[in-house]
Formats: sequence, structure tokens, C-alpha cells
Amino acid sequence: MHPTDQEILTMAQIPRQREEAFSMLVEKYRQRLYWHLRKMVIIHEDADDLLQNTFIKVWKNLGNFRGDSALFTWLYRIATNEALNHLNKKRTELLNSFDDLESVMSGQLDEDPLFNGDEIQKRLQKSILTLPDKQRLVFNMKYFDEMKYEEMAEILNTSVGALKASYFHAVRKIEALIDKELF
Amino acid sequence: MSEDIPKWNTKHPFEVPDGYFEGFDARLMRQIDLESPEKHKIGSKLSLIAPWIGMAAAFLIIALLYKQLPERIYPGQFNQETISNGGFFNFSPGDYYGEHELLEIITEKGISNIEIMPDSILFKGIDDEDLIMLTLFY
Repeated sequence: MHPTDQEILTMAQIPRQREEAFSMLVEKYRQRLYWHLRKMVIIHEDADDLLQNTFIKVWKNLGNFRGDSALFTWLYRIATNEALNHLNKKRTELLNSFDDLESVMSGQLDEDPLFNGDEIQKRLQKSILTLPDKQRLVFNMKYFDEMKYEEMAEILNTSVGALKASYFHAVRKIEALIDKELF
Repeated sequence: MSEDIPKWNTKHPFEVPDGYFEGFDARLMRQIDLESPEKHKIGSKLSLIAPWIGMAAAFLIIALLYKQLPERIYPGQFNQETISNGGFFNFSPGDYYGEHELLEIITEKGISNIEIMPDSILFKGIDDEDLIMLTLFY
């Protein structure tokens, strides 16, 4: 059974217990954060790098975490920023190329040995890749993780109304793409 | 706003390599050890000054060898007094004479009365006449 966030944070405030608290935190959240990142960057190796970067930042700042937001929210924020920065960096690298990031990632999806979905799931993933990054983020968090809008609003620092609108538009776009069978 | 959206398949279709999550913690801690600020700080400072320390140590060793080694091999020959009185170079009388003066000295005194110094080893086996001829045509 996992310790509560409060127990982890209390331990983290004591320097000699910080490493143990951090290990508990990693064990509790590594899978959720990994899947959050993986759905954004598609490739396992990228998700692994970003997950490590996320936890390294958490480790460096754990002693200073004031608890203004929930631990879960703080972790998701760091991971989300890592994912968005990674995608922006990739986009910049492709500036002089004829390819755009979406088509590159779509191609990676086709060749990914760690993708085990059927054809419909692949079409869904490729449709999701056509969304802008933040809309994709909202879609993944709501659709796959079934996260509450209130939690998402805290993580993404936006209003519940904006998130609902974003999700609604994302669903409509994906529906249209799948209906047209563009892929 | 309606939330009555279609459900295609909410199970995400990705996998991870076998044992990925089990080995993640150990890899993460190794990475944190590498990026530890304290270690990083000490490492970077040492790596900056290490070549200079090495170079200074090498110069020190060379200086000590230069100063100490000859004294140990030839005790008493390289003391400070000798060097300060005699200078670094020991000039022989030959250094003060021109060619004609040397010729006069050889002619007047004869070669047997002239001491051949060790650095004149090239002239060993040369008799008086040869030496005079060499001095003339030099």
C-alpha cells in the first residue's frame, strides 16, 4: 500500500528521510507520469528520458516544496512542461525539414514495436496527433486518464470552462477525421 | 456543453519493455548521483584546476631534479660557492686569445708545454706541425 502524499511530504522535510520519501514518491507516481508522457511523445525512449528529467527536477526541489498545490498536481505540472518543451524542441529541429512533427510521430507510431493496438486504435492515435499540443494534452487527460476537469484546471493552470470547450472541440475533430477515414 | 462523446477504446495501446518500471528506480538514482549538485560542483572545480596542479607538480619535480641530482651524483662539485665565484661557465685561457696570439704562444712555447684541456679532445693525435698548420689555415 502506498503512503499518502502528506506522509511523503512530511518525510521529505526531514533531510535524512528525504531520499526515502523520494523513493516512495517515485514508486507511487512513476507509472501514471510515464503514461501521461508516453501518450504525448509516443516513443518509449523519449518518454523514459522525460520521466527521468521530471523526477530529477522533483528531487532537486522536493525539500523546498511548500505544498501550495497538491503533490500530484505539482508532479503532473513538471511532467507536462517537460513534454511540451520536448515537443517544441523537436519542432524547432524540423524547421529546415520538409516534414512536420505530426507526420514524423505518425510514422514512428507505424514502426513502434511497443505499439500493440489494433487498426482502429492506431487511427485514433493518429487523429489525436493532428490536434495542437495543448488540446492533445486535454484530450488524453480526459479521455484516457478520465481526470476531473477541476484537477486538470489546476495542473494546466486554466479554467474548467476553457478545458471543457477544448475537449469538446478535440472530440469533434477526431470524430470527423475517423469518419472520413483519412488514415 | 454536451459531454456525451463517443467511446472508441479508452485503453491506450502502448507497451513498455519487460521489467522497465522495476528497473526504473535504480536507473533514476544513478542519474541523480551523476547530476547531484554537490558532486557536480566539486567535480567541475577539480576538473578545472587539475591540469594546472599537474603542470605545477611536474615543474617542481624537474626543478628539484635539476638542483638535487647533480649534487647527489657528484657531491661537493656543484656547491653554491663554486657557482657564484666562478660563474656558470669556466672560461679557459684560450677564450681570451685571438688566433695570432695563440699561434705565437704555440710557436714560442712548443706544444709539449701547452696543456691540452679535455674539450680539446678533437686535437688528440695531432702533432705540433699539424696544429700550427691548422691554426694558420683556420
